[in-house]
Amino acid sequence: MQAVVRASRADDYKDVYDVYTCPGVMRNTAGLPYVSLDYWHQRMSSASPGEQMLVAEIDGRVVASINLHCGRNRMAHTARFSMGVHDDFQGKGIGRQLMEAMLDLSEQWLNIRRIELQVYTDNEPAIALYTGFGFAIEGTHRAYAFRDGRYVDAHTMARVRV
Amino acid sequence: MEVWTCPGVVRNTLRLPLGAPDLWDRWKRLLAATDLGSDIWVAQVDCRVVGTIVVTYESGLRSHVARVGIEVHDDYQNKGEGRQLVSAAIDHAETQLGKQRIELHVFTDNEPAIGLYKKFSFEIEGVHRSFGFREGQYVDVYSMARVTV
Repeated sequence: MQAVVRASRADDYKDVYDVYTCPGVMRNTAGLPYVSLDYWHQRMSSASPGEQMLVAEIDGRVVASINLHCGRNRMAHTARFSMGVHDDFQGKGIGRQLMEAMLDLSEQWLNIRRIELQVYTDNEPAIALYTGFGFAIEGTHRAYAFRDGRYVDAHTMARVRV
Repeated sequence: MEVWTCPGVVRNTLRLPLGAPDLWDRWKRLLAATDLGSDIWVAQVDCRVVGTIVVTYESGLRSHVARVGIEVHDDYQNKGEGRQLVSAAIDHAETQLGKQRIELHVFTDNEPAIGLYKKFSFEIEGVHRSFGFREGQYVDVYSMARVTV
């Protein structure tokens, strides 16, 4: 499925809220249930320095987003990202299109040399996607987060070109 | 402030030589934020601050997590200051606040620090390549964590 990938706008907040409140997205990201629409409104109205947010649009509706945070000072060559794809649009190549755009922005324009992310160890589709883009597992953080009644582990994965 | 600009401290942390322009602001912000999401403990010798430990508490799904950063003045290395700081921070985080995961980053060549953390049951969880920039080169760090779940 071909999406339009573009920078986020403040008025995307309702669609982005819908993405991050999907049960599947909530399960696989660091989001809590009952986050308010106001939270996303505020967050998307004021991007912090070093933060870029891209969205994927299908038929005029935002169905996925990716957030890139660039490091500062002695970590200016690094960036972290997180992403979410609406439950109804999983497995359609939308995440891959967002990743391609984010990697192009990071490496061809922002001169980022190390890109990292954290992913729950049981999120196999996401791990496979990242591995396909040359991300390697660097380590496993025990009891990284508390989700659905228990502690879960997460990997740090990174793509490094020096 | 003197602690954070020692050459040895700059080398083994992500601080800037001569201090970042906003170093003093950050210090004030840290002190102001102690009710919200962080603590800062200092080690004092003869009324002089010779070491600091900054503890940041995570929120949401990670509210059981504390992150620490330890810095000891070059002139007071290997005198037990770091050990006392780590001990105090762990005690507060675990005993008073019920934190179950304490994590940190350390450069892979900082053997004295790694040895200290291992004594406090921190384990190496992974190596992050080219994590920081130091003296003209990219350097690796370890993730270490003490987990009491």
